[in-house]
Amino acid sequence: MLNLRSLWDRLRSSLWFVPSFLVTGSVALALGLVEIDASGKWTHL
Amino acid sequence: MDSPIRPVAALVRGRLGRLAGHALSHRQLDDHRGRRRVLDHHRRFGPGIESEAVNLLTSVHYNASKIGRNSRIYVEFTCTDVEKFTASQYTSFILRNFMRDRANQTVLGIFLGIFVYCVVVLRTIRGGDEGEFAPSLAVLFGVVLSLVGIGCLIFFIHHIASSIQAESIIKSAADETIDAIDRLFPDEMGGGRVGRVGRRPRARPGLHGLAADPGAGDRLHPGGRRGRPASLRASGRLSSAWNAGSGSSSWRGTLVAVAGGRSAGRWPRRLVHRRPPAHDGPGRGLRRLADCGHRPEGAVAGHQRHHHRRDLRPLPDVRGRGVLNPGPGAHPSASAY
Repeated sequence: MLNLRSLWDRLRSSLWFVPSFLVTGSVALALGLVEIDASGKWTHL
Repeated sequence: MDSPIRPVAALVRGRLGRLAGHALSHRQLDDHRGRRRVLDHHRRFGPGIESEAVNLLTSVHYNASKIGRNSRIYVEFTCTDVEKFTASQYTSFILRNFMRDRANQTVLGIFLGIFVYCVVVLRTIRGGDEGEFAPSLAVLFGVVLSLVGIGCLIFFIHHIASSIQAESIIKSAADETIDAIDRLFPDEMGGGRVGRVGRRPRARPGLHGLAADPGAGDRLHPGGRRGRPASLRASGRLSSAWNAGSGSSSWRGTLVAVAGGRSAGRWPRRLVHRRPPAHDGPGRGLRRLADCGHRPEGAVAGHQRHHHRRDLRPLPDVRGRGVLNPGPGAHPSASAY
C-alpha cells in the first residue's frame, strides 16, 4: 500500500504524467475527428 | 510578434469561417436541403478549401508551438522567474511543490496537446492530384482548441502570479504542516489509517519508516544489530539518514529512501532520488514556515510592514484547541503564520 502510494506520489510529481495523458488524448481526438470527416458523416461543412 | 488571437482573426477572415457560420446557421434545416446548400457552398468555395484549412491549422499550430515548444512563456516566464524569485526571496523549500502543482502540469499538457493535435490533423490534409481532403470538423475543433489555449494562458499567468505571493506560500506550508501533524497525532491515537505517513512500519522497516521513527537512527548505527550502512556512510549520506527523524536538516528533499529488505544482507536494496511528499513529517512544513520568517528583507517581512501587523491577530486552531499565533515576542516564523 505504501509502495503504491509512493509510486502515485512520484507520478504526480513528474512533469511527464499528466502532459502525456493530455497529449495522448489529443492524438486520439485528432485521429477520431479525421476519421469522422473521412467517413462523410459530418456534412455540415 | 504574433499574438495568440491570430487563429481567431484567421477564422473570421477566412472562407472557413464563412463556411462554419453558414453551416451552423442552417443546422436546423432538413438533411436534404442542408446537404444541397453545403454542396453548393463547397462548389463555390471548393478549390482552395484545403489551403484555407492548412493556413488555419498552421496558425494554430504555430501559436501552440510558440507557447509549448519554444517555451518562451512557460519556461522563461515561469520556471526562470520563479527560480530567480525563489533565490532572492525564499529558499528552495518553499517552491518545492511547483512541479507537483496540478495546474502547471495541466496547462503544459494542454499546450503540448494542441501542438500535437495540429500536427496530426495537418498531416491528413491533402490537395491537388491526390484528391482534395480537408477535415472540416477537425479544423473547426482546432479553432476551439486555440480558444481554450488562450484561456489556459490567461489562467496560467494568473495562477503563477498568485501562487508566488507570500500569503499563498504560507497558506500552503501551513496546510501541509497541519495535515502532517494530524496524520502523526490523530484525534484518537491508534486509529490512524493504514499506510499513512507517521504510522510506524512494522514488517519492513527502512528509511521510509525512519522519518516517523526518531530512534531508528540508533538502530542503524554500524555497530548495531542491523549493520551494513557502511556503503552509505562512505558516500556521506549516512549522517543525513540518521537525522531522518528529526526533520531539522535541509537534505530531506533530495535524499533518499531506502527500501529495507527483510534481511540485513540485502540492505540497501535500492535508492530513490527523492522522498515522496506524503512521507514527510511536519518538520518540512515547519521548516518552510521558518524560512518565510527568517528572511527579514523577504516578502513576508514586507507583507508585515505593509499591513502593519493588523492581520496577525491570534488565529484559532483548526481543531479548536487554542491559538496558533503565540503573540508578541514569539519567534518570527510563528508570528508570520
